[in-house]
Amino acid sequence: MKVSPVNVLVIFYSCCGETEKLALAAAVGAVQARANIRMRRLTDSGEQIAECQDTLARMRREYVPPTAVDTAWADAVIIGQRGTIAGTVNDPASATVFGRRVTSETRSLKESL
Amino acid sequence: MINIRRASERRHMDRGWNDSYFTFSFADYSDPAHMGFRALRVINEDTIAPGKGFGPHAHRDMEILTYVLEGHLLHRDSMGEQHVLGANEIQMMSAGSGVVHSEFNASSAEPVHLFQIWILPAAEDLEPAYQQIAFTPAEKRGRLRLLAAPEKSGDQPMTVIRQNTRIYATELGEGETVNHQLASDRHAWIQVVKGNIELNGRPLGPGDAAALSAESALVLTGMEPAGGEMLLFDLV
Repeated sequence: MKVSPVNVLVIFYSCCGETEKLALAAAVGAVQARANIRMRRLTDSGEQIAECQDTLARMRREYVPPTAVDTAWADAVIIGQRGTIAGTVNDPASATVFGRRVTSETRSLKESL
Repeated sequence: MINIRRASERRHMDRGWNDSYFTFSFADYSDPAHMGFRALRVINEDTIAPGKGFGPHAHRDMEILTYVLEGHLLHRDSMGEQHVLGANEIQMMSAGSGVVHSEFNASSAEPVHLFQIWILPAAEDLEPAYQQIAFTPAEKRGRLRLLAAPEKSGDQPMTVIRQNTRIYATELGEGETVNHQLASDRHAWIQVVKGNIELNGRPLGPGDAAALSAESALVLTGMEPAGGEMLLFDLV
């Protein structure tokens, strides 16, 4: 019997590309394990970061945010976040805030299906 | 035996940002009669709008070639490679055990017109690799310019493909001819990328292709009004 590949959704938040690199590494690892992957970047809130304008512009162009279709598709989700998230300091509470944001972004879309 | 696949028989998909023609089954197009030819699995002709492209996505166990006709393509991948590809170049990405990459039109003003080709590798789980070479228009004019082979040969830059396949490009002016000998155990795919040519007396127009088996001599001639350009795949 042929086993269907696992669908892995990689959701990350990155402005200067560091977390993007980790997300890419996670995605490649999943592909090496013969999973299907989708990479989705959470929309930023229009940050202006002088030292990474080009990276930010590129990621805004290259990635789309997660949708309900993605979460319905996924068997597993990998979430990447680091540093400050849209102004939220990186402490345990921020991880909670981030988790709620991922949940609400994907749930609201899922409910609209 | 020569089987012709006309450009007009390909599946057309216009997604707004990308106007595509699929020679073989791809994405939502699934036709058991057109799943590929020998190790050739995908031939897509894409015209990508300025600034648009394919966001990061994964490949595994596939040799992926890109041949640009007009415009420029920006490549980025999980191996850390970042390059701009234009005409008279070939990009060979060996996905091997797994690669994530993006391909975007490098220009915010001009579309990029290209052929994307997937070839099944001879083995799975190989180390991912990226190769890109450039050549002059003269190197393909009136002759077969070798772009990819299983091992390097000669002095000219070329890419290595992990399959028993040799890939050539040629551009023929009107009335100009090149010949190719096909060994008895080999097959060929001729893909016209531009203009008009004749293959063993059969006319082929832009986007047309021909699959050849049990043929020994290929005679390719540029036809009116301005000749043509094609890719030749010599396959097992």
